[in-house]
Formats: sequence, C-alpha cells, structure tokens
Amino acid sequence: MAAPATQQIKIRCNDEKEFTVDRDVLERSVLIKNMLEDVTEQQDAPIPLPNVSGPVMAKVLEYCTHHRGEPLPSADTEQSQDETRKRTTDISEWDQKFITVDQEMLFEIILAANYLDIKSLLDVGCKTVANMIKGKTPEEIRKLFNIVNDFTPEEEAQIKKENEWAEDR
Amino acid sequence: MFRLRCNEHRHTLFVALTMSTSSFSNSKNLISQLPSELLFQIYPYLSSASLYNLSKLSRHLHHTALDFLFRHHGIGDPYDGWITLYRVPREILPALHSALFLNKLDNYHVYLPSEVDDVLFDLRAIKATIERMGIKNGGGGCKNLKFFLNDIDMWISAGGVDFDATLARNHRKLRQLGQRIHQFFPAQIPADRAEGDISNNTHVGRSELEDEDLLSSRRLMWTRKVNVEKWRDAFLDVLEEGLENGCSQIGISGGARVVDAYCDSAGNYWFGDIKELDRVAKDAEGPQTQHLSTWAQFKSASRLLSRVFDWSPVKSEPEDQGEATAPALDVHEPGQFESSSPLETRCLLRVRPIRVVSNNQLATLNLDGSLLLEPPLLTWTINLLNNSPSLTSLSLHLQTLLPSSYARIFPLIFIPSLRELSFMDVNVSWKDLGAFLSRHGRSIVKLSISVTDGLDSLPTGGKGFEFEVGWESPVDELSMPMLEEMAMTPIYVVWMLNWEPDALEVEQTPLYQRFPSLNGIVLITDRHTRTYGVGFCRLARALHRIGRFIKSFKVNATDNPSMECPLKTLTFRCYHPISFQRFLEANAVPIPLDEFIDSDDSDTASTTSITRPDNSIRADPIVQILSSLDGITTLRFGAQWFDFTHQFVVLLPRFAKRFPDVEVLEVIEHQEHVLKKMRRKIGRKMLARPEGIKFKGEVGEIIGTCWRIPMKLKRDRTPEDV
Repeated sequence: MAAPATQQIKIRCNDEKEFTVDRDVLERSVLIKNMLEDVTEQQDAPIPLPNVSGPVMAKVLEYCTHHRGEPLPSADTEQSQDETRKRTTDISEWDQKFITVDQEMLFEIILAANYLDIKSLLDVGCKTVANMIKGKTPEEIRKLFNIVNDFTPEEEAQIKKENEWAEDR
Repeated sequence: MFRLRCNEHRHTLFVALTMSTSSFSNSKNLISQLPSELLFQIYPYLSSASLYNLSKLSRHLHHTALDFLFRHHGIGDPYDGWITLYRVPREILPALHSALFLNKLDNYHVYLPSEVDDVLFDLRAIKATIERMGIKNGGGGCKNLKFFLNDIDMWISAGGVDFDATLARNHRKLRQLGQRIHQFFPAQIPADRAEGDISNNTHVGRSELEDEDLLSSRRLMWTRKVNVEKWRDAFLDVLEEGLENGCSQIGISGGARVVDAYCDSAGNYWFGDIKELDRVAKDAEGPQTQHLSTWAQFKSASRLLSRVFDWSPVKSEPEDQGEATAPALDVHEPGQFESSSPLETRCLLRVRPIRVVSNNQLATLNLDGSLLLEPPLLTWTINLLNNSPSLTSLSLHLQTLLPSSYARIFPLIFIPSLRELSFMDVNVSWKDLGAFLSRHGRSIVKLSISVTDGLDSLPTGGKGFEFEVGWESPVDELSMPMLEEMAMTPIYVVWMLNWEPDALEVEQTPLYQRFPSLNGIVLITDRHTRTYGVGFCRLARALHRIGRFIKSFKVNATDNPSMECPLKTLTFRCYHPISFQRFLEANAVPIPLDEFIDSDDSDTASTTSITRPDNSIRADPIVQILSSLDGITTLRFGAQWFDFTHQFVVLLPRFAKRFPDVEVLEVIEHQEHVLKKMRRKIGRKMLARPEGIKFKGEVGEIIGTCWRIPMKLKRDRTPEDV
C-alpha cells in the first residue's frame, strides 16, 4: 500500500482556480472521498467542483487542514443527532475564529460544506447562523439578514394579530 | 486522536457577530435563499421562540420554520390539510394560528389533553383558533372540525379511596367545561329548526354540512376507550351540553369491551355481570350496589341516546313475561328503581323498539366501538339505520370482544341514501359485505376499509390469524357481477400500514381482481408511529405489490395483455425526511451501474460520475417500484421529499426511457432553486418546458406549485432498452 497521505490531488473551482491538496485533507469531504474511491487509477486531470468558488474553497481547505486526521462522523451519530433537538450550539475556539467571516462568506461556506458533504463544517456554519438568530426580535433578524418581506399586507396583518393574541394572554 | 472539545469553550459568538455585521449591508436576503434542507440543519439549534420569530419574516421561512416547529412538537404537517392538536404547548399556539390562517385548512382535528384544567385553557385557545379560521376573519372556513377528548373516562375513573372526591371535583370541572363549550360554540341553529324539540338540534342537517361557515358545521367527537362502567352523569352532562349547543355531527366512541352487556333469550338486555344479578336475585338482601351502578349506566346511556336520536326506552310491553312480576319504570324516575327489588331490573332494562322521527336529518354517523353496536342496543341501532333516509355516511370502528354481533349488522341494514361506508377492524365476511354492497347498488361511491394496529385487540389471538378472522371467508363468495354492476368509481381502498403486507399477498390478490373500477389507491402511513422508516418501507412494498396486482388484474380479466393498467396516477408522498432516508437505506440494493450510465446524456457525464455511487443506489427502490407499474401515466411527487428532490433531478432524464408509459410528471415543489435546476435539466435535454399549475387542496396554494412536466419526448425516442 502506498502511503495515501502523501498523495496530492488537484481540484478546480468554478472560477478556474486550482488547488493541489493532500489527499487526506480532501477526504474530509465525503463527496470527494467517495469520488476518489471510485477512481482507481491516478488521474492528472483536476477534479472539477462547479459549485464552489476559489475564495470559499480556500477557506474550506483551511478548515479541512486544521481538522485532518480526525475521525469522520459515522452515519449513526448523524441520525441520532438529527432526532434530538436542542443540540448544543457551542463551537470550539478554533472553529469560532475560523467562522468569523462576513455573512456572504458564511453562507457560501454552508453551501459548500453541504455540497462537499463535510458534516462537521456544516454544523459549525449552522450553529453560527443559529447563534446569530437567537435572542433577537423579528425585526432585528430581518435587519441582520436583510430578509425581504414577501407577505401580502393581509397576511402580515394576520401575523401581527397572532402576536397580539399571544401577548395579551 | 485529536478531537473537537466543544464543551470546554462555552462562548457565544458575540465577537463573531459584531465583527461580521460590518459587511451585512452588501448581502441581500441570503438566509432566504438557503435551500430548505439547509434551513432544516439550522433549525434544530433554535428555540421555539426563535423559530416563531423567523416565521414572521418571509414566506419561505414561514413555511420551513413552522413546519419544523410543528413536527418537533408532534403536531403533524400543517400543509397537509389536517392539523392535529395534541397537547400543544402553549407557546406555539400563535404560530399554529398563523399557519392555519395562511393555509386554509379543510380539516382540523383537536386532541384535547386529559387534564381538565388544560382542557379549559385549550378551549379558549381553540376558540381563538377557530375564530381565526372562521369566515369572519376571511380565513379558510374549515369544514370538518373534530375534537378528541382523550382519556376523558380517566377523569372519572380514578380508583381507590379518592374516587369520590376526584369524581366530585372533576364533575364540577366537567360542568364548567360544558359551559365553556356552550359559551364558545353558541347554538346557531336556524330559527325554524330551533323551535322543535331539543333532539332536533342535534341532528345533522345536510345543509349544515355544505355550509361554508365553520361554526355551523362543527362536530363534537368523543373518542378513546370509554368503558361502559364509567359512563357517569358527569360525562353525560358535558356531552349533552355540547350536543345541545350546536354540535351537528355526532360520533360516539368507546372502544371498551363491554363484558357486562348481556342479552338473554327472552330479549332482555342486561348490563352487568349476569351471575351477579342472579346471585342478588336469589339473595334479595344482598348488596345492590352493582345494580345501582348498572342502572346508572343504562340511564346515562339512554339519556344520551334520547338526546341524540330522539329515542328513549319506554316501559315494557304488557304482554312480556317479566312484566307481571315487576312493572317497568320510566328511566327518568330513578327513585322508583331504588325502591324496587333486583328482579324488577329485568323488565326495566328491556329496550323497546325505537320510535324514529320522520324528519330524521341524520347524515353522518360514526360508531366508534360504540355501545350502539353492543348486543343490548344492536337491534335498536339496526332499526335506526334502517330508518334513516338521509344517512349518507356511515363509519364503523370496532374493537371489541364480541365480533359476531357486528358481523350481524351488515345483512340486516339497508340505507338507500348511503354514499360512504368506512369501517375499521370490523369482523365482516366478504359474503355479507358483498351482499350489502350489492343491495346498495350505485349509491355507494366511497368504500374504505382499514385495519389498524388494533390487531392485538381482535378476539382470536395469534397475529396473522387475527387478520384471517376478519377476512376469512373465501373471496370467491363475493360475487363479481355484483361489484361490477355497482360500477363504483372511484373506490378508495385505504390500507393502514400497520398491516404486514407480506402476509397478505396471497390472500389479497383476488380482492383487487374484483374491483374492476379501482382507479386510485390511497396509502396512508400512520404518522403517529415512531417507526417512520418501517412504515414507509411497508408502504413501498405494499405499493409494489398492489401495483402488480392491479396490472395483473387487467391482464387476467380481459385476456388482453395490451390493455392499459387502470391505475393511472401514482402519488408519492412522504411526511418526514428521516423516514424517506430510512426507506432508502433499508431498501438499498445495489444494481448494475450501467443501468445508470446514460449514454445520451454525455454532457452531464461529469456530474453523473460524481454523484453516481450515492444516488444510483439510494434511488433504487423507487426505480423498482416504478418499474413494476407499467400503466402509470402520471407520477406525482410531493414537496416534502427533501432528499428525494435532488435524486429526482438526477433521475429525471432517465424516466422517459425507463418508464415509457409515463406521460406526465407532477412535482410539487416550492424551492425556487430546485425548480430552476430541474427546469434547466428538463428543458434543455429532452422535455417540453414544464408548465406550472396551481396545485390546490392537498398541499395548498402557498407552499407548492405543481409542475406538470409532459414527457412528450419519449415518443421521439425509441425506448429500445426498457
């Protein structure tokens, strides 16, 4: 068996930017891991990742490099996590620093983590968004995320009304 | 091994937040653009309050956040047309109201909690809910409203020393509850009917059923196992008050085994243990509590029945034998009973044939394991049914130890106006049922047969065998011409999934063959079961088999293999992403990869190679099912299939080739990005542009647009490799 850790893999993002990364770093992504397992021969052509841009990929690779060597979460634990609500929103120190990015990048990272199937990174992103939402009033959330209100006036009035009802109890 | 040590760093993200707010102004509405499945990754970290706050911000967030919230609280899917309130936490009621308002539900089920105090609270909440749904507020005008007052018998059955105290306290509360019901649902009976006697008010008028206004079509349902022994005044008082004050449909429930009901050869009906009665009869000095209690039960039951059906037991006919020794007493004079000897009870409890009012307007009757089908009142019930010219819907739900009496009911009733018949767990032979159906000719348009997980409570032990008890009569006895004459269209056969379809394959085949006009199958999973995955696997398997049955039916019946399969539309719906996931995992059977390599699709080959290992295997069960349903021309997929949507997109180009009969795909989808993706894929490659049509009803206008995707191009391609 050749030492897989030394194997270098090329990937190409949608903006033509290419990265050459150690295989074990890339294998944090289940998508790429499965793909590499299917391809038996060594390939020189870079793996195209049409859904990820260069800057985002750089960020993702930063995460993968830091967490290389950690065991991947098994399917079982994912399942049980999904079922138990109120998971803890604690984030480790390094991850927290890592995810301290602007909002656009945060959502890009979430999308990329989902696409690349990197469960732990996706969790970090989702926890971050959840932390941003927590404890805020609707208007604060709307401002924070610039959410466009697409309710009709009637519907909005109705939603307001529910509020009143909830409050006057 | 290095591991994340989350717990040691219990920070909030305050620093991160303040730093990142600086760039927020450039980003627009990003969170709303996240696909639902990613939002569903975020929601588990949020509290109910936060979810509700989110739901006020935009449509997409509204639907996804409330969807998650309700599922988490076990309320079910508010976009499915049915709402089930079962011990709804108070904090999410406002959320529920806004969901109800926006979705205009037709059916609304309320399960009230068993604590009286909570019921009192919830009535207020329910009233608010109904007002929001009512026509006054421009809401949906819910057509069916059901209240399930769970465990109400438990309020009054607290045993032991505290029994009386509990009863008394609950009695007061129950009265209060009755008053609340009155207060919240004031009678809205039209004046011309209101002037009749009180029982008229409780009859169902058809006009009421058709009325758009929710408040005139409400119904009060008592369900759950109500033991006959526990029918007490308190229970009755509440029910009566509810009935008097505007309930227009009545379901009487009580799945309890009535071990105390007894009918002797002389036509005398007994409640209570016959041995006990005899013993007391021999020893007149013995304790009479048993009698008193049974008397109270009977009185209660008859009072209820007299309210509901304008009927009351009257004095025994003079020619009866028992009359000589003991004059019958009027039920409204219990005092006389108390002074009478045990022997007199015999006559007292005799039930005389009912007097049925001529202008009976009863339209819907749900007998849910009811007293009315127990031997003491069976005859009466049969008379009632035979004298209900306006009855259009009859539903029987029986779980009992006395199967023979239920089987008896079908040969004895004829209801000319009956349109819908549904029964659950009823022991009826196909012979009797077939005769019943043929008597009713074309009037029956809907027949539904269900077997629930109540199999264990059926009388004859041993699973599998239990099932055969209900259906054991040879199917051949059901005359095929009879069913064909009826030309029932459509027949919906509702199979509950707690069945084990494996056991039924052989027995059920002939049944399907004998429903020539079967053109739709509704398969309903039991959403309350915690084993979503198992239920869904069963659904898949059942579907698989039923589909084949129907196909083979046509082939057999016409001897013409080219005959089209009568099953035209197949709807896949799934209510929970996890169940679908489990279904896929449980059914995953690797199939040859070349099945999934589509040579015509060369320019997407790279995508295919990336996603192939995962998707091809996971999508396999669907392919299998669809492969076995050759005649299907329309496939419909519901929006709740989060994972499936993606796989569907991958599979889509292959549908035309693999399933040449499919002409239309209908995809109910509200996620813009998925739609775009799909449209791109479909439109470019092979199919006509999907036309978006409004899809009302099941899913509701707001959540989904149903995309009809004509599979036209399949005719241009030759399906050489099906």
